[in-house]
Amino acid sequence: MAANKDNMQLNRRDFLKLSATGLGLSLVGFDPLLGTFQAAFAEGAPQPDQWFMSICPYCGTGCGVNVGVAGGKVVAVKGMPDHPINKGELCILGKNLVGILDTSDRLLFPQKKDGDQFKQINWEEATDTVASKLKETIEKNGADSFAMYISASEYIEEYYVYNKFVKGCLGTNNLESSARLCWASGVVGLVKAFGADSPPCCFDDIDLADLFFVAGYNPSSSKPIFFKRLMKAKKVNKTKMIVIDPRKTDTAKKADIHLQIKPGTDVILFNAITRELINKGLIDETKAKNITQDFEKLKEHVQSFTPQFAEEKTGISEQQLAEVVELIGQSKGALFMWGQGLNQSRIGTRKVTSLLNIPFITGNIGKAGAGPLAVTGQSTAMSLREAGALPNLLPGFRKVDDPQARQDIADIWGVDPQKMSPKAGRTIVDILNGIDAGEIKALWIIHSNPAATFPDTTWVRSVLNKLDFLIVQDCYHPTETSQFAHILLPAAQWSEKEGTMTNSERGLNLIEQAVQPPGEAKTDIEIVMNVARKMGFEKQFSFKKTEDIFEEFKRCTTHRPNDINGLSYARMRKEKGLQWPIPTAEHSGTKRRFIDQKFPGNDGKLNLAINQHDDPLEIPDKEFPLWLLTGLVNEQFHSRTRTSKIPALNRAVSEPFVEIHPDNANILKIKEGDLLKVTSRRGQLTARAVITDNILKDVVFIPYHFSFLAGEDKSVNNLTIRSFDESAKQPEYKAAAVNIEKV
Amino acid sequence: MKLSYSHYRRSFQFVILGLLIAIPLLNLLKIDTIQGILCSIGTVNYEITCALGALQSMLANREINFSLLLSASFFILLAIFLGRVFCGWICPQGLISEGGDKLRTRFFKSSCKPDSLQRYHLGRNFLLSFLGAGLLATFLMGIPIICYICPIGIICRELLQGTMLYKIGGEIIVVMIILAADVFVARRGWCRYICPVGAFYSLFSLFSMKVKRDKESCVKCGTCQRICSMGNAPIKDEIVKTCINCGDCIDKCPEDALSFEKPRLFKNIPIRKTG
Amino acid sequence: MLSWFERLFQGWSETYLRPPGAQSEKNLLATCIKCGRCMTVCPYQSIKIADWGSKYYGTPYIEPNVMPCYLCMKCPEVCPTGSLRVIPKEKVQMGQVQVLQKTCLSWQDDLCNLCYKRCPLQDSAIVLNDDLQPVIENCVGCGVCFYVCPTQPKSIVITPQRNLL
Repeated sequence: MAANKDNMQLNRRDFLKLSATGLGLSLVGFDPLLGTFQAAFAEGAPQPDQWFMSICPYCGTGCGVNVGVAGGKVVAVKGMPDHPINKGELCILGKNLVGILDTSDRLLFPQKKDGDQFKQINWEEATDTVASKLKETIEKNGADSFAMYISASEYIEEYYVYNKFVKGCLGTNNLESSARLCWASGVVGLVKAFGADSPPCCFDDIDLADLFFVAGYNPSSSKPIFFKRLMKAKKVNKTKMIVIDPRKTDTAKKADIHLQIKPGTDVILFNAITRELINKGLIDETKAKNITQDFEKLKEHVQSFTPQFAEEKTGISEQQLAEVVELIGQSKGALFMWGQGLNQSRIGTRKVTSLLNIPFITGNIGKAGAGPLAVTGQSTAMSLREAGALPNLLPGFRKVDDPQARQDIADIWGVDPQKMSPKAGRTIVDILNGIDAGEIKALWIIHSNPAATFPDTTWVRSVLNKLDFLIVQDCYHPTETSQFAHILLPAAQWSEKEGTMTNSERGLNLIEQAVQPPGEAKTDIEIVMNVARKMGFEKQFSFKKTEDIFEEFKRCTTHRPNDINGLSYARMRKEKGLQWPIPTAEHSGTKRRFIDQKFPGNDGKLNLAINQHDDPLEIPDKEFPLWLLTGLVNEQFHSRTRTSKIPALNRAVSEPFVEIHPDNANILKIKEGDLLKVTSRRGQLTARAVITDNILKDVVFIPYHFSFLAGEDKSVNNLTIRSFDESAKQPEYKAAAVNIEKV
Repeated sequence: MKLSYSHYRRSFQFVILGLLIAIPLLNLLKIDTIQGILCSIGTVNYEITCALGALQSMLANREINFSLLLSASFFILLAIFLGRVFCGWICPQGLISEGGDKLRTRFFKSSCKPDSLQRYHLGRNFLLSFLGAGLLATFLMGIPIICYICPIGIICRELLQGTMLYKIGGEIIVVMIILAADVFVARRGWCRYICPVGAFYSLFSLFSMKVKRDKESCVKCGTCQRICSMGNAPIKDEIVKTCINCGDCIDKCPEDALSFEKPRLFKNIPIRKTG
Repeated sequence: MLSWFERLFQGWSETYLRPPGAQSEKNLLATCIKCGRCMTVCPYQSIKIADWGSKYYGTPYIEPNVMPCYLCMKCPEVCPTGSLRVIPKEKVQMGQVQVLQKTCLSWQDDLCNLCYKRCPLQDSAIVLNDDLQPVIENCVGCGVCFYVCPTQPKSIVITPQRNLL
């Protein structure tokens, strides 16, 4: 094929030459030229001479990969055959990991903004500038005028260092992470329901369950390896699958029952399912009363959610509801999975807790093959929580407002507990609001891209421009965010640094450093520690190597839920994916928690949630008649800083598209492939139409990967609304009113 | 300066040429009310197709396509009423050939002689046999063979590809060869002796609009004969099928002895007289 | 020297696809008047016009390696001669596709399925065996799967449909 293509093009070129310089010239010497061209492209990739163990940096599944190095460069990435999660398999993103490292837009030197241009500076100057600016800001406006915004794809050691620096040394709790955009509602929901952040299940439960209850979640696109495991179990064990999604996603296509719900009405559906389960006598009420609180209250509350009411609100027929209830009632072990479809909502926490009511009352908890199984979208959202790198947490799931916890941690950190702030820090929306109001003066962004990922891009950009001092520490430049920076710090990325990662089933893995960072880039730990030392915290940051940090972190976990005192780098090299708690070196990890039916909440009981439905802030009206859903496609990852570098992935999806129902398309006279202008009250987007009946009428779907670096009108966050979950502060990406017209 | 036919004609030719570039540009800007090139133009409700192309397509496929016939009727009706105006007023190859003609008159002044009637008949036979052979080959081979060498299609297509895909194909060489032949071999040789499209439209021009000489005012200066690039001699009333109704002779006649005669089919419809 | 000459007049690869709605190769070659309307209207710029130097010259083709056909079916509507006929996209016959199971990632225990996810006729043209491995069924040969296949060389082979009717 390729050779034929060459033929064709050369012909064309031949002709141009022919018309320009005459027949004779082009006849001479074209063939030899062609030969050299072909030889240049035929050169193969070098064979790796050294392999390092690592974990795929994309999603929360945590697949093991082996990284092959030749001549100081990563040349191959293979699935790790003996890793318990993926057993050598990789998805298409993992397969193409090599391409994210040596790209032309790697940030290689520290840079400082000088006017409109970035000017190269040396590390000494960069560290000095950052340290003095931070000192100045904190002295002038107090510690709370500084905030740090990190990603949720970093390693435990890094989270720990950031935490120690920001909360222990600087004395502010404004350490926020991009996990807020992804799983905040889910985690807050888990905490509310269990009384503590404690994912109880493991991936092996997939093989033991007889029902998968999947709500607002499309693992087929977001976690292919996890999905493959589900499908395998479905085939071998004839496991049933119920999928709740307004779109007929690839996951929904494989479901036994797909409930194509009207967007945003999940609470009603879950309450109706709960009601039917109770009223039809499909649950063991005595057992339910034993392990939960407020069962009677819930029973009374859900009575108003009749199937008729549910059908009217959610669009799910009584018959379908009855089938679902029947399946859940008969199930001996059901796994409950959910994703951004529930989390990214104004009532995300309510949706999650309403969903969790179902496993709690049916007794699908604390036993093998049953319970809530949450796989996060970013690779180390679990590590982040363990290390307490969130505004209200300290390492080991401690709360900042607990004086005892502050005392314990201050002892380990070697700081003054009085200096640590008892007030929970700002979430990202509060940080941005704070910048807008002039309360936050300096922001340090590490490996994160809020200008692309936060809703209402126009506003975010105007806010970032207001900052006195913005430090962007990233491995790529330009990104959407790096353009606003006052100083750019080049950081190492995956396989250029060492660390520990926890995946969504609490499994810990070591990631080895395979190659040196390019240019003058340094690891994140080094950068932050250098700044901290410059600011006078030499004693707190006297670590010699990454393992020292891990050892200190281990001390924070003693007698905490995530006790990992039995783990060391040496052990992680031998045993992969051990799940916390691992209190001693002999302990072989904890696959499932709460097997003893004792829960961390009040009286050791689970909390049932009494929830009402609420509409999103903005619902479709006459002017903006369509409901906008955003979501992902499996060829791209988040804001594309990594996946946009890989041609094989960009070929498949290189620009945003608008999925629209044929009925809407007919009314607007839209045909497949037409360019559409999508407008909301906040901005506009131009994209091609994809007409499909996989989506509900009056609902449109646009993938969220593209932002203004791909084109000023390609960002779906131009359209999304600044509406946030009431308790978790997670943005509502799945509800905005838009209008569509043909360009 | 009074406006003459040549002004109108030249502007019209350039408007057509401009449209050939503008239409793809408009299409790129998603304005799709008008699409296509001279081979096939599409507006909202009406399609115009090159009549010879349509005929070939049906011959090659050996099947009558009524919608195609309907869309081909525009250029045929144009030829029935107004003669070969397609060649003189629309064809972009005509514009290029006229440029070649200007070059030729500058280089070889002596060679600009009108055809004798004898030579005309020879040329006309050649023209028609070319068309006939092309159509026969089309029918036998099952491929619209004339389209392969048609410079009109080539120019239009190159403009289209150039504007939309930023590429020029090797086929443009046909146009260059024709231009070279026009300059160095025979005056407007392609249009006079070969062009099957012109030949095809000339078949319909029997009763169409023609140039007429007013014998009384004519002073037989011979300007018209010299000026006619298609080799006609209005001075001898030898205005034949090669005439493309360009109106050059009418413009240049010092005594205003020449004018367009109404189509013989519609004697009653008045036609504006200029010059 | 000779090979150059051959290439000049060959100028056409047998692996190029015809736009959707084309009947047999013979019919297309007979009826197409090379007006380029299909190229104009193609929103993805998939359709190109064959260059000079062969009997295919001037006719439209799709190079699935550069840009495949997404089956929007706009081109048959504007074709003046009926070379491309207006038919539903399920009835299009552009080519036949084969999955090379030896190199396909999904058949090699990795997970890819890009061909399945991007197929314009998902679940009809490409279905999944065991929910994992792509299997070609009622494929119309638009070439999207060939285009997106990430392996090198491609694990999907596309053969143009030339001799229908």
